[in-house]
Amino acid sequence: MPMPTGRATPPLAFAWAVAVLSACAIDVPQPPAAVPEPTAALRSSEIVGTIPASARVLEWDLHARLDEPAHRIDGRARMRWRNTSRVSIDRMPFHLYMNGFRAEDTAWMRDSRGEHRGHKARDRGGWGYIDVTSVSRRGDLGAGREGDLAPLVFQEGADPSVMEVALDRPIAPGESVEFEIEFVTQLPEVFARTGHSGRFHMVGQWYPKPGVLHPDGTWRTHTFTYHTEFYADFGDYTVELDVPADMVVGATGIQTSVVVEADRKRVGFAAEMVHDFAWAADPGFLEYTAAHDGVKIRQLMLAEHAATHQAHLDAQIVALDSMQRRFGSYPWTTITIVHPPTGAEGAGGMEYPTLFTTSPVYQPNAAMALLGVEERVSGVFTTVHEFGHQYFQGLLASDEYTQPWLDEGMNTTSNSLVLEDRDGPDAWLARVGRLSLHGSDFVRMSQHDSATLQIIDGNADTFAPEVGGYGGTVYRKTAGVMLTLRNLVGAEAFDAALRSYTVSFRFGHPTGADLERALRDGLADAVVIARQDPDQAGTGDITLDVAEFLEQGLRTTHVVDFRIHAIVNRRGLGQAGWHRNASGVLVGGDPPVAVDAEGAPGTEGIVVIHRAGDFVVPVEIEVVLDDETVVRRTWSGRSRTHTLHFDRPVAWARVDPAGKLWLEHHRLDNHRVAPGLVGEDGLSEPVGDLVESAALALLVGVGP
Amino acid sequence: MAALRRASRAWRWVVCIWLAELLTATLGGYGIRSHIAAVMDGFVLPDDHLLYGLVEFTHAHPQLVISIVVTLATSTLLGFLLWTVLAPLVLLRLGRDADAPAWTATALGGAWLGSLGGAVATSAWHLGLRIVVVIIAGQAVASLPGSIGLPLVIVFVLASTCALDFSRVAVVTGGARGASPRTAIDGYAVALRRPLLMLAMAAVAGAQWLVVAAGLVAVLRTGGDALALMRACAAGATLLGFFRLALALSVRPAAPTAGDAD
Repeated sequence: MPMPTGRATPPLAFAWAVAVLSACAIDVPQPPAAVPEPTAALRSSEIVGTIPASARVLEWDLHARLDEPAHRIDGRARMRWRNTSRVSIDRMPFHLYMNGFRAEDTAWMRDSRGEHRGHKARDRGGWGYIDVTSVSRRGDLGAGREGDLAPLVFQEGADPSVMEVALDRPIAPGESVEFEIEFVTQLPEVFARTGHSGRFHMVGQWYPKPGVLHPDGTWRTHTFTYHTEFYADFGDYTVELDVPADMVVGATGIQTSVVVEADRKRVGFAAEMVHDFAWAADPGFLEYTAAHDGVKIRQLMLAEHAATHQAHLDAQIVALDSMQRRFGSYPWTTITIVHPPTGAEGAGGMEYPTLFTTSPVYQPNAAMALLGVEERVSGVFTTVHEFGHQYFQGLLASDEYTQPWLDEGMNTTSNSLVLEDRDGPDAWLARVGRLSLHGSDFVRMSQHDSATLQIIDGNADTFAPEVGGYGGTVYRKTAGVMLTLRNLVGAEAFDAALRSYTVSFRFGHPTGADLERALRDGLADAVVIARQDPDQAGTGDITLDVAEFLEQGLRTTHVVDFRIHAIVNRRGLGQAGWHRNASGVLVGGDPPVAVDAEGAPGTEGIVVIHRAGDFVVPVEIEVVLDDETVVRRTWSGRSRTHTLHFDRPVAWARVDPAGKLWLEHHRLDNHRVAPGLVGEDGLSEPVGDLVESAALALLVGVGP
Repeated sequence: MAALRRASRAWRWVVCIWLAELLTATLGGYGIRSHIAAVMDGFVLPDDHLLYGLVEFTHAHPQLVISIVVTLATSTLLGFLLWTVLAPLVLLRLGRDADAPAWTATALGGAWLGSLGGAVATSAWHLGLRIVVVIIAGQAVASLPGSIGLPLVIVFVLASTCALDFSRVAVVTGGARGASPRTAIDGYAVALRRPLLMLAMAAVAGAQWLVVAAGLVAVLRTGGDALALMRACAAGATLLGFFRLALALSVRPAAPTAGDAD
């Protein structure tokens, strides 16, 4: 890897100091001896479990030759496909994802305008495309026979990210057919997941992939647009990559062979029951390997990132342990973590089967460290998140176009659970000294801008980039819905219900309806949140209607928002005045008693809670009376207001005291003190102190 | 040590100026506290998630951010103005030898007013020069790693501070013309001629910053709980400022002009 250019030569006077400091700064940990490559791509059948016979739809035999200077791949695919639907088909649509980068007017480029997650296509960075040169069907396959090739007619769709192949004869249900496809893939300079940067090559979505045929005979082959990701059938892969001899290659599956010939080498890979094949190559890659619970963990990184390999490995192990325990075994024998080099950050944070790209760990400088700045979001979180995708889409291969929340949102949910397993419930993710931001805070912060923009359960195209809110809605609001549900029904019940979903739909194409059904079945339709309060005669158990909750959370833009509307302490009613006795005669006649007079009736306390948002959900209320008695009540949240009466004055009241409602982002009106009571609001003093300190520092700092 | 003795003898002045600084900062903090308290109006942060509470508050009331920025900018400006105006007065006080007769208020006021214009003018020249120095220093070290370049820029800024002190001394005690850019440039010349003195003053100025920074770090790390420590640090930094000015007085051309006897 050549040294980065563009910096002026340091003055000689300082060159020695720079050299000394640089020598101290670069401390590249030497990779340990490599863990042997597994001999099978899948773990033992006891660990993997039963793979449904219908799940294996494809068999791939791919050959790719990388022309490195041109960043071009000459590819050849032999693909056997099985019709698992109930109908015969006479056409076959394919994804040509790389064509999303072919011109300014493709659907993907129209949406993105050459920018993806803050990474921009460079001026004259080059287009990416895939040019299919031939498609043939191999016919009359008999035992051990190579059938004749029948050329097929194919045509790109209105958008070049899809093409359709006309079959020369119908393919009956249960029948298999073998295709041979030749293609050329030109990699763009990377700014959105795939492409090259210098000698680094991240090769994803690089070959023609058929759409998914559903049992009713309908094809799912979406146009590639900005937020659409991918959807494909499972299959087995045998792949040969022909690359320059000095390249270090990482790919989906296991490495099966290496043959070096002059300045080239051919590297063989095999993968089983995966729905994509991606690979990365760079001659500067250092390889760090480790084994954990029978899984080979392989990290590929340049020296610039080597210091953080242990942090990523630790995160990977935590995620692997947590997700296996929660969601079932990880079925493959390898996981490869690719660290894109500086300049190729656009490739970072993307998942492929048994391989993902991560991002650098933020290294606080001395000043930040002195201030106590710490975070668990960069790098390590990326590793946790992208590994999570091995389950939420790698194993549970939902349609990322139709229901992007099902992988991104559920994966974000699972990430919170991984962090909970590591650091405890709702642990901090970033902090400055004692000031910290927690997982719930990140969910809530995202809702300020996106809570009411779109519903969660929409297809990827409903999240137009110019509207925004994709991340806040699909990722974090989904996590907010799920984790709020978990907090309400209890972690044990929720985790068991979610596990039933993840175990039932391994190697399948689950839908949102499948997940919702699993949650409803696992939790019961009406979950009792609080038993009848003996002090509140006439009230029944407070229940949560799971279906209603999910309907509101996933398919409405209703907002969870409660507030303490009022606290009233007023004189209670006594017996003063005239009353009729049993004989109908007016008796008594005691004069009115002043509130503060001796013998005056006691004061009663009233708390009024307002459901300001449209989202109906039960909520806890904590009330502290003037004698410091703490009372906890639960309200169904069905009416707009709810009034609580007490026979003593109320000191203060708080709604959702345990912070269970991660979906509620307006929380500054949740806690109120009674009028007349002096108390700190908890915000003005610390913020005022911080500002006063900063002002004092500036006053003194600029003078004398 | 003589300079330190001069500075410590003026402890009442240190306290007075420190109190003025505290008052100014407290007023700024009071404004922010009042702003937030008025909006909260009986409501209380529901948990210990202070940062999220602040995010939610500023999202609903973005004017708080403007208030904070204005408060901090005003503090910076006031700090600059305060010391531009007070520096000649402090120099006159520090310049009086222990055995010299004390200033009368009239004499001190007269001397201060007499030198104020020149001190302000030379401060203005130095402000321009300091900007030039920082830009040149920044360009010179731009190609160096931040761990080397930033300290070098800080050294240049500290040297500029020392040069300003020398110019102030020349105006206040030597009658130099503050309005002349030459007085400001001469400050740099003195700094170069007296490198050891300049280094000592730069070290004291650096210590001032460090003391203030330590207080601020403590406040940030404790979420505002270390305000008392910050105030103490401000007192220490103010005393160090007096010490630095007293050091600068060692280049005065002649004995200080004594005022009328008490």
